[in-house]
Amino acid sequence: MNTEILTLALYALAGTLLASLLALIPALHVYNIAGIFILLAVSAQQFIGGNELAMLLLGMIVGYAMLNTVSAIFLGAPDDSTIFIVLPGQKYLLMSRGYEAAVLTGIGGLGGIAILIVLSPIAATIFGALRAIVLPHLHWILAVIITYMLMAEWPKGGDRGATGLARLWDAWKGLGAGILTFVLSGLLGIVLMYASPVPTDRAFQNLLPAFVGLFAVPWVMDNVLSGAQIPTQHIAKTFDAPPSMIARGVFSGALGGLFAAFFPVVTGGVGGYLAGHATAQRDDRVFIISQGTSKFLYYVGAFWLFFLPTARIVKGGMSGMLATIYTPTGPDLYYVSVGLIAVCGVLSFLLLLAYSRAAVWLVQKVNYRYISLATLFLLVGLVYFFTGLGGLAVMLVAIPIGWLPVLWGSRRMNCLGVLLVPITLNLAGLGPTVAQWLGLI
Amino acid sequence: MKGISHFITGVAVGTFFPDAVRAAADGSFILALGGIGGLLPDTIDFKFARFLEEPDILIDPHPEQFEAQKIADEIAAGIDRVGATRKKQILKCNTMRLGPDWWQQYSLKFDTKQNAVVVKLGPIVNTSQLPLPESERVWPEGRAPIHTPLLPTYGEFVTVDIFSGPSFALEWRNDRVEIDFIPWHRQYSHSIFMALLFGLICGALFFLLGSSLYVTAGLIGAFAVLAHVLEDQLGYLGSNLLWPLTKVRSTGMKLIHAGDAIPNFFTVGTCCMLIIYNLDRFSPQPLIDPLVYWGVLWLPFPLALLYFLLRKFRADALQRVPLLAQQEGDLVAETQEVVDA
Repeated sequence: MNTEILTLALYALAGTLLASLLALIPALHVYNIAGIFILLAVSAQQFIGGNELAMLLLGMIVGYAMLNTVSAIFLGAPDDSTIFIVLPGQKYLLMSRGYEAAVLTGIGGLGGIAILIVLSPIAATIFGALRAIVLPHLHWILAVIITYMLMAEWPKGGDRGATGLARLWDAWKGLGAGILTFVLSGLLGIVLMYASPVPTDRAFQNLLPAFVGLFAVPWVMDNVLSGAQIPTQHIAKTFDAPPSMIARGVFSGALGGLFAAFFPVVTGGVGGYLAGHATAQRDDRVFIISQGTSKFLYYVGAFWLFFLPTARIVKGGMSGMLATIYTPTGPDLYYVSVGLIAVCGVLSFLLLLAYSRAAVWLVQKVNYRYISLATLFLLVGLVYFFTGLGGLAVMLVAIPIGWLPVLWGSRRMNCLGVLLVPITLNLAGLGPTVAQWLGLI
Repeated sequence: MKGISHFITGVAVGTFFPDAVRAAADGSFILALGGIGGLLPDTIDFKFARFLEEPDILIDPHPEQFEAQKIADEIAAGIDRVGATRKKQILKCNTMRLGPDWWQQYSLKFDTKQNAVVVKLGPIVNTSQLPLPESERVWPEGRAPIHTPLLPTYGEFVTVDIFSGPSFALEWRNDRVEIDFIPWHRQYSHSIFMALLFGLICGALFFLLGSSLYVTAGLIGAFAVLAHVLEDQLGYLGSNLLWPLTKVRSTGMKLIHAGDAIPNFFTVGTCCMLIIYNLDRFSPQPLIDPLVYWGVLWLPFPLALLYFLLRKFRADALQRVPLLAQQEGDLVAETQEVVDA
């Protein structure tokens, strides 16, 4: 057994090291590579067993969840889960504190590990019962989340105007842009679900071009056009967050991350945002820590649920793909996976410190506009490599939608309509009807 | 209370209707009505009412020609005018935008002890209200005496910086001028009338859509709005509960401030637990043991609330702040929450 655990640990650590390299490439999602690994594993079953593959992927997702912060903060290229980190992260970067922001997300991630360890003995009971209760209700719960997202966006103008109606129009321009962003990204999501131009043999990369277009490209282009200058960065020896602040951030992020890990389509960013509201957090540092925890639990927690004895829950891209060829068995493997999450998480945190220093060096040595331009070319190249011309077409449609919030100062979170709308409709059994209205089927 | 607390309370209210829960399990979105109703009163105020208010005194300063004394004089003259004419005036302070992410902050204070208005220039801040280092200029403060007695009000500086600035109703009451912060908030939108109206709209909508649940839909809508209104009564400032019969906002129960973290967390946590409990209770095969669920799992929430209330009452006993000041402070905090969101 010990040799077996050691072997599994080596696979997990290898996964973390691999993911640590992948996480540095903006917009390259761990799921893009994991999908390829799983396809390869099917044809090479004599070389790698199911448990080994599962632990390799576990190590990858832990590494990715901890380290994708680096490209979000230093390169300004977020994805659906780091979209909430990039704003305070870039703010910190402009205040010479980019390294500190990255470390704070890492501390949040370490907090997430602690939460998983504490919950591991009781998780099967809690999540098993919870799943049975909410399973028939997922569609309206998602609709409620959408309603809150849209209703809780408040006007950011309206001071100027000779009449009440003129002021109302001024105020509603941004809100209208937010709703339009949500509707358009939702329509894009429905199109991608029912008539995607991405080739079917690359279907598991279906959302990559949409995410790159909605989240990463607008931000990077904004950095290119605005010619943002990055001030000299300070590598702090300590972090400016007392234990009580860390506890508040981890607690809030844990609520959001576990919610996101459990509920379909809710991303770590949205979960963290809801939990931040619920726990009335205002401080930037608490917010960054909570997003670190939430993002970590969103990715790793969802995969951890896959190993729960008696209540195996398939949620998230990684377990969704793995479940097609593998079923974990027994509590032993579950506790091994919890232990390896901790080991890989600590390794990832150490790598985060090193990579953040390297990123600080990069943004100080190279003009940030060139970095942003290189990132932009990389994004376009990756989309073409993984999804071909069809994917590029999707990305070109997604970019103007992703630009709407930038131009009108509305929330970028509204771009998540690309996921929320089609899934909510499908869960309510309305997806095919709407697709038919749109002439997609 | 914070927006999410009101929203989730509305959703929780909906889950008390068994037919709505069963319909929801079969694909209906009826329970989302509760959330909409829960946030509706603040939506009306912060997305509509505030922009339709017509100011009588408009402070619209220029960042390069900021005259603190002139602004203070103008506001003091407005207060004196109310004292002389007994006629209500709306004072609106506009923000000063410098660029896409930069704002020139200024602040004002109603000094009720010395009967004066104080205005001063602040730093340049970004949209997250973080000051630009070394941006605070040495600038003369404006101070204008008020010749009319004032009722006690929020005594700290109110900052005017990002997005839309605050407004104040200057009104003659009890032989003094009352400075009512954010006068467009918690009026008709936070009344029993609004609860009835929204209930009727929801019921009518479901009736027109051919749903047999129109009565339930109406009740969910009405109770969700009512829950918001009642939750607001827990604070220092209640609302204009009986509008259109009454014209002023009532005093609340003074238990919490709108932005207090623990009461908001208690509300969200308890409502989430209520929702899950009700979904289970009205399912064909309930799984939850009420004793364990409420007796063990829920326990941290009331304990946290108890701790909060004990600390609060102890702090209140040591520090006596006039009620009106607490009420206006609550309004400032609530507006700030909307800005932060």
